[in-house]
Amino acid sequence: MREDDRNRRRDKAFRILEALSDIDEELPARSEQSQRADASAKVRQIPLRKYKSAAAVLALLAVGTSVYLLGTGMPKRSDGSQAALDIASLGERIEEKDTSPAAGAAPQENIPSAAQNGGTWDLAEEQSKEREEIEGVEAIEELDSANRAEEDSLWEGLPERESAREGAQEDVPTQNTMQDATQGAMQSAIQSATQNAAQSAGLDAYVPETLPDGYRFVSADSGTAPPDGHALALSCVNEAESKRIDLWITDETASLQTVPAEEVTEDTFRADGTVAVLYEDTGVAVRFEGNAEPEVLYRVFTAIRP
Amino acid sequence: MNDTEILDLYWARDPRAISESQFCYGRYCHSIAFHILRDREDSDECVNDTWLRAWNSIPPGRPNRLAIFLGTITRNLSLDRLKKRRAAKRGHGEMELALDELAECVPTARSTEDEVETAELSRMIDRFLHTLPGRECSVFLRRYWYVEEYAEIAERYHMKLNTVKTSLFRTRVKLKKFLEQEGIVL
Repeated sequence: MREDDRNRRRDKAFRILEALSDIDEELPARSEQSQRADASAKVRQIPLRKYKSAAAVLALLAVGTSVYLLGTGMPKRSDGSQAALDIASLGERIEEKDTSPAAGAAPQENIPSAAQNGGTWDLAEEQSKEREEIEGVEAIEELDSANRAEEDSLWEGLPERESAREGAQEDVPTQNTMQDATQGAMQSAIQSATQNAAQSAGLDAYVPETLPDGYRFVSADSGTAPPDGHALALSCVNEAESKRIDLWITDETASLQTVPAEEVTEDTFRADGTVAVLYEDTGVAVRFEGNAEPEVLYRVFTAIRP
Repeated sequence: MNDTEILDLYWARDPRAISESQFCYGRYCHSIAFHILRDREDSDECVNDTWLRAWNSIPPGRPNRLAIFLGTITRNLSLDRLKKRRAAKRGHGEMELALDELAECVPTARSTEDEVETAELSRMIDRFLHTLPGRECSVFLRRYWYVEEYAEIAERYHMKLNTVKTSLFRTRVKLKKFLEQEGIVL
């Protein structure tokens, strides 16, 4: 490419670079915060990989051992009390097995016969389960990886959490009127997310009953809010309009500038800054963040404990 | 001091707003400027100009996220400075590399169409970014908003270097396709 062409293209690329300055500020902010979420995710991944390797090794051992045992006609048992004895006698039996017809067979070739035998070890079934588990772990890792970056600033200081994200809500029906946000898959997702701290603290009562048109939940997480509180974070988006609403429901309100729920009007959401609504009867606060219009935020507010 | 308190200082026209901003966000803003300019002195000047521009913008402004607000000012000032520098002498380094990559996103021009306004382009890119999975979006922004190097991004997200490169490549292809579908001409 000639230098002039290259520079012309760079100039155009520069326009994209400049245009990026005016994107939704939540996006660069979120890219800052993903670091912590991913760090914790990394810790989670290590044992998964170990399990996969361990499962593979165990599967090979199981296959090898069962091939030998099936061939010798040794009593099939899953009883752990005999395991040491079985292993101790393995060396002797290997010599005996050298003359048996099954000795040279590949382990895989013996799997169907093991299943047909209907023995208590039922190796084929066990291997199938192991394969499913390994595949399941891989699928979870992929899903986890794809959705991990959805975690955002709401999780500041929430080390323990239950999560339910986008993949769990594909069945949520879209309606022309207000969406029923707590039915079906999302309901179970939210319930899952609120099982621990949030549910025991009663925070799940502050999940909006409905969402405005076009909005759907994309994540629900629960955890602890230092020093002694609990928190539940929900995010919903309107993809068509590139709008997002984040709700942080917590009983740890000391650090929040709150407005009593009784005093909240649509104008409350027109003021600059984040709005945190305090339900004085329970001491629970709901913080509203995002780029949705004030009237939309107010509708979400009215859908909480209507 | 938290963001609300710093903003209150700006609104009260209290000069401590600048020193507090410098204290809380000086390193952050300097990092943004330095990734773009790769020059300590220029970066210092951009950061100093950032506080002045913030002082002139608040009030009436009251940003929701002070860090991103200040970072965006620094970024714009740095890009302006870089543009002048590039006009004087075409440069090299990470920034030019990032620009070469982004040039892949430039949609094919058709002579009958006018260039899209910057505001419209921003709106389109914003829409595009919201369609991306969170991680992919973040990786893209670390590279083209913060102009970070691949290795920094890989370290930040605990990714392999090649995974970062692949992710960025795919996103650029998607962006080009998106802009072309939207009829954007640069």
